[in-house]
Amino acid sequence: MTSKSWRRAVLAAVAATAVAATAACSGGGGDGGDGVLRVRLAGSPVSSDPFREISTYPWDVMRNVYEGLVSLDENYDPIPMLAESWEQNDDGTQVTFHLRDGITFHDGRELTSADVVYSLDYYRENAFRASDLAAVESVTAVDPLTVQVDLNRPWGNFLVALGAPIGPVIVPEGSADDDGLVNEPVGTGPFVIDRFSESKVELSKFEEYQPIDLPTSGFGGAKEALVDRVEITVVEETQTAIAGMETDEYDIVTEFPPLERDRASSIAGWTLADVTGTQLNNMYINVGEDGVPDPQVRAAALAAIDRQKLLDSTSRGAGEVTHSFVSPDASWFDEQSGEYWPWDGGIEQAKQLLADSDYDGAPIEVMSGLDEQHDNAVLVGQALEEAGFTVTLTKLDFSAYLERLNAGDFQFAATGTAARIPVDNLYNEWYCDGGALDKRFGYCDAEYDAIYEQAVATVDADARNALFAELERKLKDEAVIDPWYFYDNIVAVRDNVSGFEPAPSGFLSLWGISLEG
Amino acid sequence: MRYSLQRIGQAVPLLLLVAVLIFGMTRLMPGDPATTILGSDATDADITELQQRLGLDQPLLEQFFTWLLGFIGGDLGKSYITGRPVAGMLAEALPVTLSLAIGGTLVCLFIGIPFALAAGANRKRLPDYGVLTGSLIGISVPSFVLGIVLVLIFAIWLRWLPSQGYVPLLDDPSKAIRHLVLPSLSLGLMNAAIVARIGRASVIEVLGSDYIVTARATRVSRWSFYLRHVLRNALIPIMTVVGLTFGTLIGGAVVTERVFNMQGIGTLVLDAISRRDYPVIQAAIFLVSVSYILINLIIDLLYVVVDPRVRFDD
Repeated sequence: MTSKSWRRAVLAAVAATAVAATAACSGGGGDGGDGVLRVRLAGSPVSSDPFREISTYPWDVMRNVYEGLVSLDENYDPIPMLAESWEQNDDGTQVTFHLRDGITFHDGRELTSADVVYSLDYYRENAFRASDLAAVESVTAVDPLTVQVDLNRPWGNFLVALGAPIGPVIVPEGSADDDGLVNEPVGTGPFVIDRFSESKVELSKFEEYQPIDLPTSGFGGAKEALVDRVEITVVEETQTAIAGMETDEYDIVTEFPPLERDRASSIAGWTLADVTGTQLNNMYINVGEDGVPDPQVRAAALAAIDRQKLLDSTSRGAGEVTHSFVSPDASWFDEQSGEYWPWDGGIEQAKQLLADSDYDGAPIEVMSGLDEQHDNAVLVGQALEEAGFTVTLTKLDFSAYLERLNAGDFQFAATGTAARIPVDNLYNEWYCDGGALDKRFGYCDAEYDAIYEQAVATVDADARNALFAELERKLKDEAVIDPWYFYDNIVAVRDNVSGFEPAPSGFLSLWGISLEG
Repeated sequence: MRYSLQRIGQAVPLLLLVAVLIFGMTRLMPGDPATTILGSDATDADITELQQRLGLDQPLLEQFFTWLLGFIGGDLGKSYITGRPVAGMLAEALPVTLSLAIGGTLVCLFIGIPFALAAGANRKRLPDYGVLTGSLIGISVPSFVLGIVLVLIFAIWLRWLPSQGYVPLLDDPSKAIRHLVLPSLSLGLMNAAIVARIGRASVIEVLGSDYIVTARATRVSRWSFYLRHVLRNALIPIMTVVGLTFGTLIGGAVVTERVFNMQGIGTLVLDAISRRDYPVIQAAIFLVSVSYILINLIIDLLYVVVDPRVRFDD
């Protein structure tokens, strides 16, 4: 066989492969259109069972499917949802809820107090975060539309806890038994789950949904589904998601990276929407014997860190520097304590503090668990070295990082923290309850614990918030906490999408969004 | 038959060893599922409660035998994270992985073998040098880099093919094939390069054999000569490479899956490892091990079909 014949044979084989492979080609790209809103989610929704999921991605889906007795407005204050009103006794140990009449679940059943009793009891007994409702003593159906909740102690933020974006929702009686909601999710929300897998969720509009007669605000208010169907696709890889924008695979791309802003502007038909979020990057500090017990050494580290530099370097400035874990949007944000920061003297203050301390030059470890946190850890390490510290950096996978964190086996840890709602959950982290996790931050202070207990039990919001503010100042004065910056929630939106606004919480709300054309 | 039964018999202790290793390795990983599920603001009570619910407070040996006996009985358990049966999760991921493995293997065969023949038949001439150079490039370029370039050219610039996603074949065959083209090329071209090089060497060896000289002297057609006499005799090493390729792809082409957003076994295992989802890790890796053993057995048996001279004697 001559070489010419062989060349023909080879080319023929390759061409045949190419022709066969593209035989059905009629153009690439996604389908679009037909009233289907296509959304990219950066992480797996994992499960449709609201009692077992506590991470954010599952709730990006579930917040559109399930509802609770109350919800939270844009200031994180409780507003009616499935309960139209409530009364609370003077010491905050009993709340009586009056349910809205005529609300139906996705399976057609009508909401009654029996469902509420079942849901809250199920949460207290089986939810992965059952301790969130540890203060609930009993839940009783007074009549078909009235539920009484008794607490075993006064709890000022009980209603906020009920309306938390990741929290107890109401499902039909018996539906959660034997992992029932894993296979057949049933809620009262504006969308119904038609198909659920770890990589893709298909929702359809719940035609019998009855929006509450309140302005849309935060996680609640009137929630109207304006699209018939939603397809949520999990795309973990950022570059793949951006390629999907260019090939019309999606209408909304969540968690758009700030580093790719310029690229987004070059893709026709897309706009970036952003808002300063309530999720922040910060540093955890272990003040115990195995951590950094000397407050002056800790203070030196805090003074050395340039938070604006961290924000500019790792998030291209997409966010706001903060000295508080609490978002300014929250009604419990205290401006005085929130903006108070005693360690803003920069490198000079850091050097002075370190020189006055007993620091002996031993290596200080900065630990991180996620790639984006490691970038911050590197910059923090450089700042600490400039101040005179000897620094080692440790990057772990997330599970290993959590194990060391919970064991108190760290000194500094670069991390990201979601908004803690209610704020009790935030300050609880430094509260000593005698459990194994007390060693996480190594902080046990009787005065702190007393103020914390009083704050949690205070029913009056202003008085309660003042006590939490006092805790915040104390932690800052003792160099126990180190918030850095809130980062923006950036979402890429196709020009045919209207009504979408990114939420500061980062959660995906599908109501009020429509497609044009 | 006897050989096959022997190989299957040998696989049983091997799989038992695999089970012990998988279980041991998952338990050696730092971090535990309960803490990973509950996150950094978990309470002691929640962590302890969840560990008990998941059976993680039991002695390790008890956990191992509970898992193994359940596995042998067909119960792969439930995912710690999703609560869904592991079998269902594997059933969803397996078609994706099989599609990628078959697609990648077909690319490997249809490109690798013709180039192997072309190079071997034209030793030290331009086609040979072309194939050697091209195959070197093909082996050197990581599949994910190739994948990204293919997406850029064929999906973004030319708009001929979709950039990502998976469509089940039964849902829409034409759309399914379109979605498989680029990832199959991404996976298969590197292996095609390997097949081309190994096949070339094998073809050269065969062409130097006495029976080939005899075959040339007969009046067989060129196609018959190269397909029946040359290729068939050169196939053994090619089959070995193809078998290993297919087995590796069954194990999951996680990077390609990520580039093209296809949730196959690779992605399933990677996510399970990061979440410490022990039942999924154990079942998925075990499945891959069984697949690998079976594929190698099939390839060994095919040797006899391809080359009747091969006998599995004592």
